[in-house]
Amino acid sequence: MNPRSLHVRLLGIAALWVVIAVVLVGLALLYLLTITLEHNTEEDLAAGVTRLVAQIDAAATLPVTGTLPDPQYQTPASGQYWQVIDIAAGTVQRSRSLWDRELEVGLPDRDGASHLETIDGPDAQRLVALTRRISFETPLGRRSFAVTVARDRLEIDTAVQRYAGDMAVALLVLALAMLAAAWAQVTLGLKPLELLQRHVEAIRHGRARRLGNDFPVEIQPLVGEVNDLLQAREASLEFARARAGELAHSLKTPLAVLAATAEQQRLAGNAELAETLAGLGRELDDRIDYQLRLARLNLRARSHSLRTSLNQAILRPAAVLQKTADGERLDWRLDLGADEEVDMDARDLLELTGILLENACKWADSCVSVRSGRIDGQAFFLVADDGPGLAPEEAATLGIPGKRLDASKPGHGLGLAIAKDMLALNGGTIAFERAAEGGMAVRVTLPLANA
Amino acid sequence: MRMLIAEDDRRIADPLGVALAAAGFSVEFESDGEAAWVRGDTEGFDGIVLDLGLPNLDGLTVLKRWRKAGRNHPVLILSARSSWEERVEGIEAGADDYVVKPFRVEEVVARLRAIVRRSAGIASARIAVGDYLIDLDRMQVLRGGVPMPMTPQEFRLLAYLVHQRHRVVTQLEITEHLYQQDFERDSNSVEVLVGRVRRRLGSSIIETRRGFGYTLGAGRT
Repeated sequence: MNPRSLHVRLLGIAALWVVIAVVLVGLALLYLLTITLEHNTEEDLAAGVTRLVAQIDAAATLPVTGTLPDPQYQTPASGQYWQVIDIAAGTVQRSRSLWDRELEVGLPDRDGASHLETIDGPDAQRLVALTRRISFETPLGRRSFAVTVARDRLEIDTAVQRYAGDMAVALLVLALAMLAAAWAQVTLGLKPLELLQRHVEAIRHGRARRLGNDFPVEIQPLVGEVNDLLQAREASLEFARARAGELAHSLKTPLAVLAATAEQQRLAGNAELAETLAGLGRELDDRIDYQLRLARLNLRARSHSLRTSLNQAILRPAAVLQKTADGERLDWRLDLGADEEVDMDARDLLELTGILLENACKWADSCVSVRSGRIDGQAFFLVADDGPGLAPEEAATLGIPGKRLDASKPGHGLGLAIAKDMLALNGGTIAFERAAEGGMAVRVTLPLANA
Repeated sequence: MRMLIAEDDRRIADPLGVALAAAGFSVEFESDGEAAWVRGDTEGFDGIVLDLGLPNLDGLTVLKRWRKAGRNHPVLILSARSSWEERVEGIEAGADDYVVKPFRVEEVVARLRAIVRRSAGIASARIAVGDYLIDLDRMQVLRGGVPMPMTPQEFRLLAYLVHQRHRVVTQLEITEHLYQQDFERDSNSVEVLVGRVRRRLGSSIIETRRGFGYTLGAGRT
């Protein structure tokens, strides 16, 4: 449960307000029920008091002459009680149900006034008691009585408790239903964000180049912005590559002229000048070439995955090399495994395989062999030749710009340096070994494109 | 052997033309993409050096149009663009070789020779004809390892017949492929040239098919 998740936050808020609402409603309903029950009890007690008053003979020593019809008043500790206090005399007459217990009630301060209270009763009962003060004129003078009818509160409490139990179940069901509705609403409401996330993931994994257009109007502007950004990024990459190409073109044509001039000087007999010019031209060309090829490399965020067929990137330059004078005399053994998609720009991968195959082609005596496949969760390919090969101490200097094994072959050793740079940029590795064929073997591993 | 150099920069085209002429080719120039396309489409060349950065119509489009129309003359691309993507694109569009600028002139000549030879179905640069060994790269005819004296034009005739050795070549065709365009076409000059080659290497080196033309002979002395 990530607290930064919108889903969790929205559901958390919904759960909080559902619980608060349900508890408040429950408490309010219980309060209303209690009040109503108490009110009904008060009315019953008032009626009881009135009936008891009607039984009073003010002239008698024990004023209550009859009894109330309810047999509960006759059963000890039944929960129904009455009590009459002669205020002046302090004498108390009470129902049989009270047995020897006297109710301690508060006395209303004037005639006709009633007083409702909760008091202790027999058997640890809690009683609701209504006391009314009433006076009679008798031949012996004025007599005042406090007339009390009381009932066990347990009835009210039990009713409230039973009701509360039923209500809690009902409210729980209601709360769950509301939470389910909230969950459905949040999930539905956040669906477009999940879709957006999937689209972004597809772009990262190289399965798509743009976010789609099937988003709600609230999200579509964001999608548009992201698509514009992606386009701008691609365009600026493309622009940089095109500029690098233009720069190559504009520099290479004068270099070609320089080479041709050197050739003319050589034919005219100025061998030394010709060699100087040609050497300078080659050096300039190599340096420009190295930087331009680096500039063309696709500098990219590692999180942004690409997918390019490895075997295609081997077969295409191999077909080109097989047509060259160097390549046509060689035996090409292409032993390629199931095609793997690697996480590298198509142009860069073609450049990499091209450089390595051309290198092998240049050094091979009679054959070049290429193998490809998958090993330890990575794609690999191995380019081997049967040329002069290399000593272990030479392997260490390979791929350092300007280091060459044999100065008699053209080039300034920049191809392998570029290959190394490319692999470093793309999370791959390169290793130089002795080939089974006798010459050099270059082993390259590349990360696979995400599934 | 008639070559077309389609390159807009004279400073590159001229020395290349000189070197190709020295290598025994009859060379013509074109500096415009559209014009190069028309000429390659309508005239017979034995090889074309095609710059990709031609004005009006880029070289790659020119090449694709030729191949689409079934023109399969050997084409060597010259380009300032050195990336493998561009090389693969060029070859897949139908080029026979791809040379990146700057280049050494002799390398272009050697590679052009190789693609011309390959497109004629000749595997090696040294071809045995009867008692003779014709070395297309060194422009020599050897008998028993000894070079035979020959003028460049005589060798060109022989080399052209070697490249077309499985068919009869007309006089007009020989004129077109051996002489510059502005050469005054005199049918007699081809006969004279054939006669000179026969005197040097024996009459069986070139066979005459009356009414059709010439073809490479058995070369027995």
